[in-house]
Amino acid sequence: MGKRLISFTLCIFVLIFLVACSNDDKTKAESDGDKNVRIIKVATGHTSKPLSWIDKDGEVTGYEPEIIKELDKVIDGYKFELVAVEDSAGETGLATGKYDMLAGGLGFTEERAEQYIIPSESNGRALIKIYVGKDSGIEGIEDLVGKNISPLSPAGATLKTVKDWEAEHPEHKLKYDLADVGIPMADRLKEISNGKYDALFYPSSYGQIKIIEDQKLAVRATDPIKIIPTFFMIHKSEENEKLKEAIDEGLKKLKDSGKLSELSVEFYDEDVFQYDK
Amino acid sequence: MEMSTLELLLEFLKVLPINIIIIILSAALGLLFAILLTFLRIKKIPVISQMADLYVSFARSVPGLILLFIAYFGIPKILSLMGFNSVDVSPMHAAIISMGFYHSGYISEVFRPAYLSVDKSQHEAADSLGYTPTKKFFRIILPQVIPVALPGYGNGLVYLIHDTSLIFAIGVIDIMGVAELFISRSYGTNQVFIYFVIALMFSAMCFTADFLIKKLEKKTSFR
Repeated sequence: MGKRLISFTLCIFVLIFLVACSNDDKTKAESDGDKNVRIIKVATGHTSKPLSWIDKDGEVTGYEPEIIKELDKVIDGYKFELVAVEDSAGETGLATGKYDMLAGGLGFTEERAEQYIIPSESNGRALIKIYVGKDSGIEGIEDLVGKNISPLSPAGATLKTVKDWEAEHPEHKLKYDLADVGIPMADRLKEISNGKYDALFYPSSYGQIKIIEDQKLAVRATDPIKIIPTFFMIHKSEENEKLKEAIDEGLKKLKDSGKLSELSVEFYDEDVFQYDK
Repeated sequence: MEMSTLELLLEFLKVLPINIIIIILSAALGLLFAILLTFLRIKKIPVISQMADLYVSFARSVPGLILLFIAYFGIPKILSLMGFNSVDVSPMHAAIISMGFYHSGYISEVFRPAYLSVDKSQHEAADSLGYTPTKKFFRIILPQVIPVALPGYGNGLVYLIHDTSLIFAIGVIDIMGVAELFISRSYGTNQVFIYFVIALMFSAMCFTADFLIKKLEKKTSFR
């Protein structure tokens, strides 16, 4: 029995070792390739279509992953490796240094600036829009007084945008609940189409245009009520200051060449930069 | 945007071995640690037994997702503080380590009372017959411990199987991962159907584990 236990223990450790080796081989081979090239691990979401997701062939794709792939072409000295993980894992990994960069469609905040290095160049725009019934006649936030508004998420920029507007317009009072129930975007838009709610405040980067088209919903979006530049976040370290400069340079090149707008149209069905003044 | 049920099932079957590998390896790792922990706790060795108690309490009280994050992000950090800078932990490693850690804490708390349930007179009878401690353990005590521990161990396995649904958070594409990816690619239009299929798959895995434990229970029972 004792001998059997020892053999069993050895087998387990050998199996774990084998599983581990099969995972690490690829990274090793790549890093041995060129010693002057620094490999940058970029965390991104895996289920945030069209911002970032894993496609049928197992490839990480989406607006931000494709920008990373374009940066790979225009920046020398770095090779970018995309790692698709849960949003919370992405931020935790960036803070601990497991990942060098995070592509998560994040905006600038003082807290993030303290914790990470934020490039000067933004990579896109988060557009907060109001989704309303096609014939509702609602054109802006002021038309929503007395209307039935779909619950707002307590986290994120949308609630802040609505609160800021309420603070600026104390004469108008909006009625809404706070809830973070993880209802899919398709279902939330259906709730507008079938009249359950009159309006939905939401960033436009969740594939709404495609869903409305595919599901033939009687829903339309207003012009953005808030435009928030989004940035890649970089792990705070001395050597990453150089990476920040390279990212700034690369993003500027991509923006000037029209590549960012092109990717925006490809993934969001509109150029998010068109609203810039 | 539409996906076929066959396509979905094929994708699930393709990644099912990942779940099975993680379950088997973390269950085995957990079993080994649980045996060691139970031994340390029963022997009542000063300081070491208390540390083992603390380990069990920690492993059982921390949610699975947090343990997963600690293994994935915390271990490389700790290793770099110890001077091993280039050591990285792969998502598969982290999943096996964290699930094994959690499982060992849970089942150690099953093994300890099972061991203590063996009457003192059994130990005394074996001692009076001149059994060595090893012989006494394997021939007299263990055969009485196993039938008591098995139902609780079965529950531990079921919890372990449930917890593997968390590993997609660190990028391991298992059956839960495939489900989330399908939902995301179709903007959530088929969420309920996919979750229903996932529920059936987890039920099948738990049913298999339950069946094996019940078979073992029958084999080891005295009646």
